[in-house]
Amino acid sequence: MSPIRLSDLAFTLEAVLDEAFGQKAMWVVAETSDIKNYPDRGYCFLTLVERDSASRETVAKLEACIWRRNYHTIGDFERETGVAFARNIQLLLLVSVAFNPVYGLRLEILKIDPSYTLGNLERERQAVLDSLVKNHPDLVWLEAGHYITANQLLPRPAVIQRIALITAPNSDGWRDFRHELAQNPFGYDFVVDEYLTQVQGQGAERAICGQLERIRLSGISYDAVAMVRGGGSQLDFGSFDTYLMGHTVAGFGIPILAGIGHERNVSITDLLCHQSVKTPTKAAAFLIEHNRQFEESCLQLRERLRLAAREAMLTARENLDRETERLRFVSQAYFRERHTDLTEKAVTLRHLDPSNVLRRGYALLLRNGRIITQAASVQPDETLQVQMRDGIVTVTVLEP
Amino acid sequence: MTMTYQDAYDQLTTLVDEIENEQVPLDELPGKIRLATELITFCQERLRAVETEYQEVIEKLPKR
Repeated sequence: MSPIRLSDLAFTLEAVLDEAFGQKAMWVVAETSDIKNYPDRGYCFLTLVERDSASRETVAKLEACIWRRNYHTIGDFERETGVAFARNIQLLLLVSVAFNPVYGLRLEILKIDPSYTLGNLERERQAVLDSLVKNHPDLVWLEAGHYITANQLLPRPAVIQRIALITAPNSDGWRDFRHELAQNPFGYDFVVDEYLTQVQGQGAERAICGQLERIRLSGISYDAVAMVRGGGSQLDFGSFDTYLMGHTVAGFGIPILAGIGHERNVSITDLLCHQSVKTPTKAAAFLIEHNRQFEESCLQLRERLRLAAREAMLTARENLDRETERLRFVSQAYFRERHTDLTEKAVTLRHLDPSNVLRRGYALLLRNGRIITQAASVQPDETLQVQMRDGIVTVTVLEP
Repeated sequence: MTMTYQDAYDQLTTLVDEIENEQVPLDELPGKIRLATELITFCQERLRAVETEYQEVIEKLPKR
């Protein structure tokens, strides 16, 4: 058999493949690797692989590309899933088979399916939560469909002033948080110790947990840990969805406030930390508002104190005035009573005074100045005195 | 030991009660009334002092 030219073989292959696949597109699940992305030029080369789920050995491997006309699918995918288009992620791809005699076999990626990735993320996330609940029932548990954690149940100090800040150095999140805190309109002072670290990308979860450990070992009694990440990046939440992060956050001994900047979904860190807000700015605003509420309650107490003190003094004054008035009244009554008593006695005395009796025409019969009250004691010829109103008359008894 | 407002007030009330119930012999009355008046003066001064202090303290509290 005589040899044929390579181009003949290539053209034959092209024809066969075209016959078999043509312009048909099909959905393929594959893992990414070796990405060469050229955003400026609007195309991307990568390798798609399938690995054995147990041994992780490669069982299939094909070159692939995304041309300019479909290049937007990368941005769409990242926006919708919050997952960075990167190597070693499992994707559902709409592809067509293309063969070029010079460049060989290549899959053209027409679309990346975001819902497949979202579904996977959700399943992984749920699996992490399930094992946390199973392995650490003292730190994470379910109550009426909500995850409750030890960190959530930590008492929140009335005033949050001493803060450990975990964020990326010189990042937007760092700037936003510090700016918002420093510019608070109430003039509250905050003491912020920075524990700077990468907060996204490979190794971020270990770096963050390492900083949490540093905070723990510092022995400083922080009121709260603020974990912030910002700048509007919606990608790369993986670090905040891991078992390690979930476990560390749920069991951490200081309330953790997360402001890790995302809008679409709630990460495991958000779910299990003490309090979660959307952005670093909101995290700072939350702290300011928390402290303002404390001040507000102080002001209310002050007002109650003022009113209660005034009320107490008014009551004391009323009581004192009443006693003063009562003293005046009872003293007068006392005197009136005594006067009345004396007057009555005087009247009685007046009635009893013999001179008053004599004035009415009565007379007293006396013997040597003593009143005689019994007729039997009077002797004949005895000399007696008769006391009348205006004088004494001496008389002699004729007949007793 | 200085007398408290409450001590003075209680004593005053007792005195007035006694006078009201005519438990005070007349000869002792001037003394009792003088004492009651002194107690009233004491209470008033104490109360006024407290009011003044209250005004000062409350006003000194920082508004914000």
